[in-house]
Amino acid sequence: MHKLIRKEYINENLFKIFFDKKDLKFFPGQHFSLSIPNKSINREYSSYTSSNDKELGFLIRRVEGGIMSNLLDKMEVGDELNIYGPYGSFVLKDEYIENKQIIFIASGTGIAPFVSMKETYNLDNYKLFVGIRETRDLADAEKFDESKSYYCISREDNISKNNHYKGRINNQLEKIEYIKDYENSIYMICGNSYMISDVYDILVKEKKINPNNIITESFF
Amino acid sequence: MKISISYPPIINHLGQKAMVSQNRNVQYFKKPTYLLPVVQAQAATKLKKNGFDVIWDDGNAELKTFDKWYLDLIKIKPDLIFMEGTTPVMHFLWDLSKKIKKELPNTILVIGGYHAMRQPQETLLKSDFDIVLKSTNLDFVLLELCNELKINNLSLNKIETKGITYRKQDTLDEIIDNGAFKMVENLDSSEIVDRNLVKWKNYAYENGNFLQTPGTYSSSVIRDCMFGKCTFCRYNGPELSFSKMSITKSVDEYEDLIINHGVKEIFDDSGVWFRGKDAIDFAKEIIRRGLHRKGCYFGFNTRFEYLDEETIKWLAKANFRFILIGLESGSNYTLNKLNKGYSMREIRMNLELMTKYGLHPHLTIMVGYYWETKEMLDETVNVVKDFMFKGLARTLQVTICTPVDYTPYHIECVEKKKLIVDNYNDFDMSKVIVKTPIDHSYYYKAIKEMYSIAFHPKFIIRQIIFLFNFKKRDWQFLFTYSIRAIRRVNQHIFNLTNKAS
Ligand SMILES: Cc1cc2nc3c(=O)[nH]c(=O)nc-3n(C[C@H](O)[C@H](O)[C@H](O)COP(=O)(O)OP(=O)(O)OC[C@H]3O[C@@H](n4cnc5c(N)ncnc54)[C@H](O)[C@@H]3O)c2cc1C
Ligand code: SF4
Repeated sequence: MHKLIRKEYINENLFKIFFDKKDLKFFPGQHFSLSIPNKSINREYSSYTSSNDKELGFLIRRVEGGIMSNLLDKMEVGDELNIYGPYGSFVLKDEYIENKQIIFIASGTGIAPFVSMKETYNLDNYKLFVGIRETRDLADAEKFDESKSYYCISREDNISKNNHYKGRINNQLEKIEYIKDYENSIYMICGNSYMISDVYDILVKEKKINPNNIITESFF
Repeated sequence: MKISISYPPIINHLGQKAMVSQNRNVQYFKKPTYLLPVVQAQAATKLKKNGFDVIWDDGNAELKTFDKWYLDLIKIKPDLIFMEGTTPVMHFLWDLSKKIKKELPNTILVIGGYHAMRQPQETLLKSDFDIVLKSTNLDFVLLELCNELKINNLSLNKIETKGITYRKQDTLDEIIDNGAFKMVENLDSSEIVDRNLVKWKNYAYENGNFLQTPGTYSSSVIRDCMFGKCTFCRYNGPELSFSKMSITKSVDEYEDLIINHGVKEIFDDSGVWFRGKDAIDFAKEIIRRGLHRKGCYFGFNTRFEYLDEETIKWLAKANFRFILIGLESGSNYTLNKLNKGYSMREIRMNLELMTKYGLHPHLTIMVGYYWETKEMLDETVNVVKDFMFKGLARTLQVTICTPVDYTPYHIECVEKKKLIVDNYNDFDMSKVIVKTPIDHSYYYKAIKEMYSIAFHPKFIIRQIIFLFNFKKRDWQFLFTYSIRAIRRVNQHIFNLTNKAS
């Protein structure tokens, strides 16, 4: 069992939750299955903290009517849950870290594994595209270089910051040719499956990206 | 352009037929259950809707002999034939491709399935198949491929469609890999199966899991598996993800099946079905449309702890009954090694909840892992007995864990030199094919023991006690289903131990 150490709220529906890590080891981008004792429920959550951190953190959206995310929201410091894993191959290969530009594309909490990757490997050769509904859903912008990140905000009209854009990720990706070496980059896409499906079509069908250079992780 | 989606009857030396269209390696049965291959059926529907002339050619479900099936196919002369295979039937399909190519040299032969998709070169080198389709989204890929072939007058010189590996026509030895196909599709643009096209009644009666007939498989709401991490499972692979269909689209299909086709049991064969809020919303929509009162049961595959109490309550209200769930072992060590992501404690609790609300859990159990000791095996047998005697599960199925092509378990067996066979035909789940710490006979004995639970007085008494719930399903279970279950159990025992029963 792993003890809840602390929680941080970005807004009432988006929060970070940190557990004692014990001897769990993982590659950034892998996910865990969290299971609440006696509630008969488990769900998957991507690693969010660096694999070098002492704590194991997750970035959670509380889903209206969702079962697990609401139980996690109600958990208090000192409460315990079971953590199984790590699982999955949504990870960066060494050759990518050393030789390739990584283009991260996330919707909502899909940014979680990218934070973990950035923090663990101290990445420099990357670009980040994030799709959110409102500015208040922005998580961890300070962890990424402003000149390398693009935030696409779908439900706000007044956009004030340089790297904030109105609309969906798709609109920004239409201009991906401006990114140097975009043809040879590795694309990691994470979050909502509809977004992944749309983005894939833009990258492969319009921008002629080799599908073997696209790695995806679907959350829902 | 004439396209045939074909399942040849494949019969082994014991006169048993291969069940190709199931979610793991092919198994042979004397009287097999004919399962509707759902994604292939969706592919057929998609192609038909897009103007192609589609032939649904399941020689097994149509009870054809191989010769009859073959002659019929040759007579039809399709422009493209699609077939599916897993390890134990690869040799058969490779030989078949050569035979067909001799008769129909201009027909394009396409193969899919978990073996070929992970080793396309091998299949192209050893057979006369022209194209290996490497995606589980084969309805989307096949449509793109057929559209392209149509435009290019069936030329195989340059194909752009992603998700295939093909043999170039002009330089026969050149094999081209077009890269991965999209892993995540918007399933709202997949097709709901055209029931007439796939002759759905051929699959509606002989399925041992249906308590009422006609039963049918719905178009899956989740393609592949949301979890997808169990090491032995076909849904585990770096090239696999999952895609989801909207609730409304799926319930529309249920409504059509119940109202227009008179279906009495619907099973969704998604790797794992909806969970939590989606499952509850689905159940509510079934209830809102009054479909829970039409005498039709619903069922699906799930994973332990995907269904919490609230969800189970709603499912029970909406007349869900059959819950197929993997209890791969009774040993926590094995569960952990298989990446199941839960332990026996959670399994028991989850079963208690399901049965509290009248659902009928069906356990799929496996034995014969390369590390499985006598103690682990006994744990499995004991826990299964306990669950069945206490009524925490209604039915079960035991299989020998046979490594599925290129899953982590398979790779592990190869790397640790645990595999004791190298002939693909031996992967037919009829015997243990890995080195184990105990004699293989222990696993066969355990299988018999678990299947025999169905005849144990404690199990029968439990079913009689259930009758006092005064639920139709419990009465049906005891009187209709158990008779069918006996036949099924006999077949499994015969099959798995190769001794006539
Ligand atoms: C590999 C993997 C990694 C994941 N990592 C994360 C993560 O890091 N953070 C996270 O918050 N979730 C993550 N998820 C989703 C998570 O597993 C749960 O599905 C989610 O928390 C909802 O669970 P629930 O029980 O509250 O909702 P349920 O009762 O299961 O209802 C599910 C509903 O919630 C919606 N939904 C699911 N996830 C989200 C989300 N993140 N944002 C908006 N809507 C959603 C679905 O469309 C669905 O309708 C991941 C899923 C997978 C498969
Ligand atoms: S949960 Fe079931 S379908 Fe999914 S990977 Fe595990 S065994 Fe396969």
